[in-house]
Amino acid sequence: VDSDPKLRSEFRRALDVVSPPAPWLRTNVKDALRQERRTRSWRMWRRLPVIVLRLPRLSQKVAAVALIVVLAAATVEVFLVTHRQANQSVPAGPAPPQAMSSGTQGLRAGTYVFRPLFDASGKPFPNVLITVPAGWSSYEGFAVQSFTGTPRELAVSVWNVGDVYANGCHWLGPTIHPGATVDELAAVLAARPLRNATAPVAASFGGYQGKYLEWSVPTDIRFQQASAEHGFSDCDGGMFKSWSDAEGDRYQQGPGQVDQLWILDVEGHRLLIDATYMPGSTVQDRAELAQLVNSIAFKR
Amino acid sequence: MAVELAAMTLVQAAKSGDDLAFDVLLEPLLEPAYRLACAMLHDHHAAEDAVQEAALKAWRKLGQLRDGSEMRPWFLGIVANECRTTRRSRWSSVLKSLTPDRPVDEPADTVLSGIELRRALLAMDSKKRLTLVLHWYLDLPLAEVAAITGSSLHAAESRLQRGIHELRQRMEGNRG
Repeated sequence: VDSDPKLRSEFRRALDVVSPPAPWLRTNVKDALRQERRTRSWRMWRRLPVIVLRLPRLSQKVAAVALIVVLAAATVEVFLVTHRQANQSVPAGPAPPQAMSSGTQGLRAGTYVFRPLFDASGKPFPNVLITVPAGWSSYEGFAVQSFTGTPRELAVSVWNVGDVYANGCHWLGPTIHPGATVDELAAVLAARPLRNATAPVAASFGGYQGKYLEWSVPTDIRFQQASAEHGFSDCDGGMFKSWSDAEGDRYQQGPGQVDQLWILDVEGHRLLIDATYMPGSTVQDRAELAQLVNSIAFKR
Repeated sequence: MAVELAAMTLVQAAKSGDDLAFDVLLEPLLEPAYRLACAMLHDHHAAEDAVQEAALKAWRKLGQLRDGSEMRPWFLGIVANECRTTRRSRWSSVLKSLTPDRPVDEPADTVLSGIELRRALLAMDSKKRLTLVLHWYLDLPLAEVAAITGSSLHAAESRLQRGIHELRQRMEGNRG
């Protein structure tokens, strides 16, 4: 990343010119904070007496008695509710879906909700629910994965695709904006070089219509591993990328990786579901992946 | 480790209303915050205003700083937001300030390439620009850059690479 010390030093020099020293900044900030604190504390002191002093003396007594009565009633109610709940048996039922948090989180077997995605108008897509067996983990709220970092890696992720990299290996080159429809994105993906994509076919998924295709990463390409061990890579930056969305990129995990892609029209907006497996995965692994995909449901 | 613990203790104290603890935490951050704002806005007057406003917002919103989180990425994130707001409302002054407003004792070529670099930086989308400034100008590690920009480590790295690529292409185009 930092392989251009000359450009970096030019960059620093160019910005130093527009960053002259400002020794007074510290004092200015301190003064502004002092002023803000003074205003805040004055406001707080002013608020309380105004409420109390506005009431006539008799009303103050009535208000105090009313407050005591309300507090006593609330205490009794809390006691009764707690007591009642302790003596009741809760009927068993399916556990509600849990939200995935950011970062990487180990998941217990159960149903989870992917982090909400928003369409171009800012409206959230319906919640996407997935049921996972034990041993899976969530990644940044938009993917679930298993056997992470191994030749058997499996993952399912949800995307609102923005731009597609024209060449996944030389992704520093041009990107393609695939329009807004399912067909446009399917056509752009299917035409990408190096991906050996299948022709998109009509598909329905979770009650929505769309297109399905599969593509892969060439088996003989060297990117991440070659870069780390030998200091070179066939691909830009030691990565092989597919597309970007508002928050990041779909980068691939290794040569031979296969992605099964469902591009869906969800209430007039496009959503992509990506189920992926590495070439080292077993038949059982892929069956488990298919089971996860089949469990996906949409819910408003 | 001891330094981190002390910082966390200060954060807790500041959150519970200790203004002195807040001031101690803020002081070492003002200089990087100012450099960040200058690099994002290319106008040191606007940068000073942005840092001052960010300091006030940080004090008002200190309760939102999550337990266990560090102050620097949180505060620099507020500064970056402030710069975005400032930039939106100050287009004319930002564009004007591409040429430095103080004399520079450098050869004409260097001055011209500096102007071109700053112009290329301003033309970038804001997240890419922020990533480049944080890593290349403030020397922050990528993990912290990711925390400030609210993105994953990979997204930050990718943005950085694309930013450098854009700069390089623009500069090579001008030389060549």
